[in-house]
Amino acid sequence: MRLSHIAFRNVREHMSRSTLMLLVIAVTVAIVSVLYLVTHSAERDLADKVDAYGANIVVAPQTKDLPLSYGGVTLGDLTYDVQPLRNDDLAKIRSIPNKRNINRVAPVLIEPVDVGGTRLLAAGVDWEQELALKRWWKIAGETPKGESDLLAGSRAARQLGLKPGDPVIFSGGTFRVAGILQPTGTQEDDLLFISLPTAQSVWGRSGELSLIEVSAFCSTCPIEDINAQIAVAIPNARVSALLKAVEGRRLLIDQFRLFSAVLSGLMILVGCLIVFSSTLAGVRDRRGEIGIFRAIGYRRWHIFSIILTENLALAVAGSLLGVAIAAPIAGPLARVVAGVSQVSLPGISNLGLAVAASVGVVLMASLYPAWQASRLSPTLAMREV
Amino acid sequence: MAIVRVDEVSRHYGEGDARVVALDRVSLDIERGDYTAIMGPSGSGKTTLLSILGSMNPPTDGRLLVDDIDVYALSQERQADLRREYIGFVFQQLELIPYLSALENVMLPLAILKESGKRERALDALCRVGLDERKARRLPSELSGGEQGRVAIARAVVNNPPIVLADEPVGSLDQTTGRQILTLLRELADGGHAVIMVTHNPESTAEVDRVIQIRDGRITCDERPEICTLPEEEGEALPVGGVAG
Repeated sequence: MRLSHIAFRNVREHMSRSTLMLLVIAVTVAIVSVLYLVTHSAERDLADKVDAYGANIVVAPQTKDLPLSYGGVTLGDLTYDVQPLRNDDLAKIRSIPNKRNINRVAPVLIEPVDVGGTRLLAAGVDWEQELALKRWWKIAGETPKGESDLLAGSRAARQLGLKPGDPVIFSGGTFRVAGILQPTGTQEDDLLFISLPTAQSVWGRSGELSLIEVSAFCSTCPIEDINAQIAVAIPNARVSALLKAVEGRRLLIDQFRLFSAVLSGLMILVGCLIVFSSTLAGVRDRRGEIGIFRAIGYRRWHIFSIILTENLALAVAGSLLGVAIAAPIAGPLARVVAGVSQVSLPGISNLGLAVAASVGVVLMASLYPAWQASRLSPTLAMREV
Repeated sequence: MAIVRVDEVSRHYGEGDARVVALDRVSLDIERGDYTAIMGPSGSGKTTLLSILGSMNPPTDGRLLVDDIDVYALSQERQADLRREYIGFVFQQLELIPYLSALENVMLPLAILKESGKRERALDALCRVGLDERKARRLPSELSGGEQGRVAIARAVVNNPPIVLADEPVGSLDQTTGRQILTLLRELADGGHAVIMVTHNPESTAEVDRVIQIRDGRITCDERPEICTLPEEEGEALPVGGVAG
């Protein structure tokens, strides 16, 4: 017979207390595990959705500027040695080491145009990429998709008196207004959007691009890394992270993470308090028994290890039960509660980690009661002394 | 050499006006093979003396020597080791652990030892007190009072300690069972154990070699039982041998 034998028999003997502890540990582990799985999945999902919502990287041609002045009069900047971006650069972006993080690559070619004597800026875009990137766009009329379709910004449409279905002629081409973009509050309100291949053709700028907007999933890879990789792939480009988008995303995710951590922390605290008080009450109920152990020669460490072994057994059983409860319900719960489309299921190592962590927490909560037990006097085994 | 030497031991509880003297300069020697009863009325200090003898309650003054070791000069952990090695206890209510079988109760003092043959030693101790393997498997609640007493004695001697302390071992038992237990304690003393029993019942001292009467924390009589267990008034009037202080 070993000390562990005494501990296990005591767990069995005090079945109601042991069952309560087991359930508390199991429920705490289950709730914390479910919270972790749901928030982890939701965090990933949210991060990806935020990243997909607009561009977070802009790739523009590298230029050299020279400020000009003559006789103290500033004449503006002279831009020279411009190396324009090309269609081929799109493939280069999609082939960086972190290509899996690249979500959308939206090329843009910008050119000033004259529409019936009115000077405006027109942008050639890839309809599919652009519309997927600018999810906040609301279009009155049809969604543009054809080579001759035109999407007019709200102010540009007002200026030209355009409505869906109207023909527009500029740069030697005839376009049909598919839709009017509702006000966005940005420069997009002043633009006329046409198809990129058509723009390159009518403006005689075949294969040329003014800038490339990139939306990258940054939850598994820092945006700085993706930036650096694009800069290596296109050496003549200036790659900039849109810090506002990145910071916004970080703020949102951090809030979400904090909420989940606080909730888990509270659950663990409540579980700890129940384990602590239940173990302490158990020690008080067993003062006479512990006194006998001490009287027959058990050292303090022996008493300490009996109490810890009892709770260790309950912690292992409770944690396994908790994980077994959490694993099948976390997925459906994440879908229902957090609207997560893809749930990250835990691996064996994560399950092992959950069990180890909960065992550690239970043992921590048991330290003081076990220490108290180990300090009980052997005279408790005797009558009033 | 005495296996137990109590040297001018005093024990006080409380301070100032609340100070209670439980033992007052008590000295005595106990040899191996002695069967000794400590008697006295309630509050006389006999249980305090037993707890001091059991290395569980440090005296305010004086020394306890067990096998010439100054017990209370040791650390608490070493005192626990000494209890395991030198002292077996039979408690008043027998104090068997209810969720362990008779055999497991007897094995309790061995559970912390890293050695083989624990089960055999426990079975042997049970056999010596007249319990077979069938009874050994039973829980205390499935045994009679007498059988429980035997298990308690087997637990006390499984380590073969030179000293056995018994705190009112028959107080909760019927007369027949109580007599069986007292006989077993006599056999332990005959086997070389120093058996020290606290009792308030003069009938329990029929088989002891020596009675120590305690009153108000002082030894008032230390003699053969037929002398020390006389009625109270006569006992007090006797010239005592081995009186402390």
